[in-house]
Amino acid sequence: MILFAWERHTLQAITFMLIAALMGCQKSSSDNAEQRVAGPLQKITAAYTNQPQSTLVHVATAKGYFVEEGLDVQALMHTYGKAALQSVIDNKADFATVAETPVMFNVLKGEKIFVIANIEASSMNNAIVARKDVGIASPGDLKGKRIGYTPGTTSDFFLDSLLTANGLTRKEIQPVALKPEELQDAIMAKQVDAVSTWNYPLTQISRLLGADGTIFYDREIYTETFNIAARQDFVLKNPETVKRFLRALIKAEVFVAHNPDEAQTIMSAATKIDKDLIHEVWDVFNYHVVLDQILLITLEDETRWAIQNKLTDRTDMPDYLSFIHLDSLKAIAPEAIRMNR
Amino acid sequence: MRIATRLRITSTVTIFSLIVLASVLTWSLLEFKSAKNDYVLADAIKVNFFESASFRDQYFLYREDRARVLWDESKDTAEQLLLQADQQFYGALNRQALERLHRNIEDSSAIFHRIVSNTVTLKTAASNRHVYEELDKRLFSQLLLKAATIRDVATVLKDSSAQRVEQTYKHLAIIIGLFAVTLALATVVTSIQLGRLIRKRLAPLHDGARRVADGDMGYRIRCDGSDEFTELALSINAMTESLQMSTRQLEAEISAHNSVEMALSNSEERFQMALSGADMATWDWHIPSGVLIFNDRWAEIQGYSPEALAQSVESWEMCVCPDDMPQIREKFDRHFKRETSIYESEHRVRHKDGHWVWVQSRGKVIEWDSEGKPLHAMGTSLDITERKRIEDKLLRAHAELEQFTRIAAHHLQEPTRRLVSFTQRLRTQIPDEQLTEEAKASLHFIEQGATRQSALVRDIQLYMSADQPRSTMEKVAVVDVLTKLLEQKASLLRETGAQVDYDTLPAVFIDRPRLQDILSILLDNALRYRHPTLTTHIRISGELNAGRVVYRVADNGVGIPVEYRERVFGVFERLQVHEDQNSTGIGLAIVRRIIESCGGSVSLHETPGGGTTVLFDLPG
Repeated sequence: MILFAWERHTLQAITFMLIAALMGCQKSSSDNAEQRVAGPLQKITAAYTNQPQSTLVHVATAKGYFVEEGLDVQALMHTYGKAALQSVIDNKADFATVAETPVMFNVLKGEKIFVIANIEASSMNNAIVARKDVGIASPGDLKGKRIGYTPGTTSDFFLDSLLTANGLTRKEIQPVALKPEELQDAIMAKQVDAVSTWNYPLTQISRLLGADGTIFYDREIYTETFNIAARQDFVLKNPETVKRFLRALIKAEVFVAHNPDEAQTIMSAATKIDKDLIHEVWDVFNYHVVLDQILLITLEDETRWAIQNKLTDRTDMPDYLSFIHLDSLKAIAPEAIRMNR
Repeated sequence: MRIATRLRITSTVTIFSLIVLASVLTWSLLEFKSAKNDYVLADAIKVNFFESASFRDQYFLYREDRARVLWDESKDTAEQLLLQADQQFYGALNRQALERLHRNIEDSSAIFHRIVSNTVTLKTAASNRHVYEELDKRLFSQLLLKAATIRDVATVLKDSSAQRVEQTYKHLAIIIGLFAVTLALATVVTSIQLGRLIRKRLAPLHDGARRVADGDMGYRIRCDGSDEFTELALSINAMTESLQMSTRQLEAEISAHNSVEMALSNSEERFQMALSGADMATWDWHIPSGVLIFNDRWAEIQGYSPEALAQSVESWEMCVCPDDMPQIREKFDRHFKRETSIYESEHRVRHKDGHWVWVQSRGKVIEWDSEGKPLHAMGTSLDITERKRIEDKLLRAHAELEQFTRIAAHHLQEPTRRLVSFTQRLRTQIPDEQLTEEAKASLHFIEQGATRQSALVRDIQLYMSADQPRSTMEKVAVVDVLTKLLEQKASLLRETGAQVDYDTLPAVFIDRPRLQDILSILLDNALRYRHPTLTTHIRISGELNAGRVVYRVADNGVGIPVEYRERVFGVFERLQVHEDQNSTGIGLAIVRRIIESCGGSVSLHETPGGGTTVLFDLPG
């Protein structure tokens, strides 16, 4: 085709414009493209629980998100987060799912750990389930009663918070320190009049007590957080592994948000817990991979409580920002960092 | 395919594309506007959060009711904003965020009012005051947590809205870009396609037109297809065909024109030579301006050099003899009124030496204006002084001869009449028995000779005066003259049994006696040379033709052989076969002399079926 100069120039200009427009679109889409990791899987160990707070880890495992990120996650299961964190501290695991209370106590003990993400928050996961037959009808009736709890956990802090909210002090009750797995039997055996615990045991005990039981929630007094914790040296030495782990959890977060029923099925299969129970408590939890102010405030609140009640030898407030690792999450999801100090 | 059809299809496709793009553009604009509204609302929610935080902090600082009321109002505003957001925002994540906002704001409200309530309790608490103080702190912490959540969710909502604004803006920009590019592409592609098509189809036309322009009139542009260019090619071919024909015609005309021009040039040359040879002067008169241009000969006739004479009619009129001017003007007037085809005049002009020079001038108007007035006349002038001198001499000689003839005729008539008279007297005075037969024959011959001599003298007189009017020249009604003549010849007509027919006869310009002579001589000849067995039939007819009247006098007589038809016009010429003692042999000579003196002509012809027809013309 014979073209005049002006025709050639015009076509070139239009072609350039089209290419530029396509490149703009391409750039936009490439920004959203998933990063794929090739090569052999990296073996890591994650200590987590069968609690609903660990849902994202269960889903990431079941959906193969860790594998997608090049991680071969070995599960080290625990009944509660405090034990999981201990596995990390004991270098038996690389990551642990744990509530803020064990984190707080371990920081106060001087453990070099990092919280790398908060994966769950709830104001309704902790409660006190009590026996009516011992005369407990309201929180005020707890005065003088035997109340089972797990020291060093959210159970411990929630119990204190609920008592405070009702004008009571720990001195006005009979606290009974028990392991989480001992609480159900203790209350059923009437060894205690009430227990401070979390789900699933909370709902299970309530179901077992039936009409004999009552639950005292207080969503306005306490917000629980469940987090991913790791040893500081591990985090600093394996930044890419941390990012991959977090990226897999973020995928799980998206999946859970869009497929709650399937997520509940996964949890039921993973924990051998009845799906009805899982479904019943499902709305109590908010599954978001973030690092926000809630964690920091709660850690500081609990630290004040621990110091005040002489649960620790320390008398000063640690700088928790030194124990919260922002970089990894910030690198892969900057919008998830909502910490303003 | 026709170009108009191509253009229509292209326009339709372009318009359709633009309509689709315009719809998408409108949708994108609405999306952009919606995203912007969401952003504004999210921003308002966030601003409300900070207002609420401000009132919260004020309350914790002073525990005053004003701050609580303001916090409550702020919370009401937040609820209204969330209600608006519920209707405005869509998308699962946004809905989740709004749900979280709702929950956290409600939680915050509950916590805040619990703090307010605890504050009241604190005022009266005594023993376990520290518990309520701790509760106050715990609640406040929870309030801060909720506030942080609200802030974060509001930020997410705002960021999401901002992102949506950015995305819709980007989409809008892309669509506008696509819109512009599509428009530009459609325009350019259409232009290029049309340009190529026009160049492709125009090239043969251009080449063809150039070949035709270079003179190749036989070239025809190839006409394939059915578009406008084919029609144009056909038109150009038709135009070329017409041009070729016109060129051929023009060439022929040019050739003819050249021939004519050459002939004209030759004619002009010959004319100039003729003028020169004939010693003729020429004049060229522009009548309205009076400018009169003449050649050298013109001045020379008057004895002047060309430069010495002014080129004007006034100057010429001053040279003309005043006695001749009236007739000159009359002749010009008659010509200007188109009564005469040419102007012709013989007049005198004064020579430089003072004597008169006779000039014969002829000319014609060659250009008339739109109103029929003469504009331009041309003519020649000839010095006829010598001719005039000879004519004068001839006239004088003619006059002398006429006078002599009249006198001689008169003197010859007298003895003739006496001879007749005395012969008749002798015949009456001498008794018939006393005369011998010889004497009787002698007397008869004397009488006959005298009668013939008298007729001869009369005819000679008629012949001599035939070229001059014998009375007033006028329009003469021929029928009147003929009727009277037939009455005079009634006895002769009866004797011969001849029939004379005539219809309406046009009048002629002549004097009455000579018209009568013409008709009389011709009737006499018809009766004299009648057919011996046939009843004599004479037919007289006339018709107007170009200002003249053509007459026919036809008989069924013995006729005149063709070899004698001219000869009989000679004086004393008679046909031997028709020897008649009563004929003088001058009649037809007289007729010719009269007619020719009136500018006409006369000739003899055979009447269809036999006989003689005399054909002559006279002024009408």
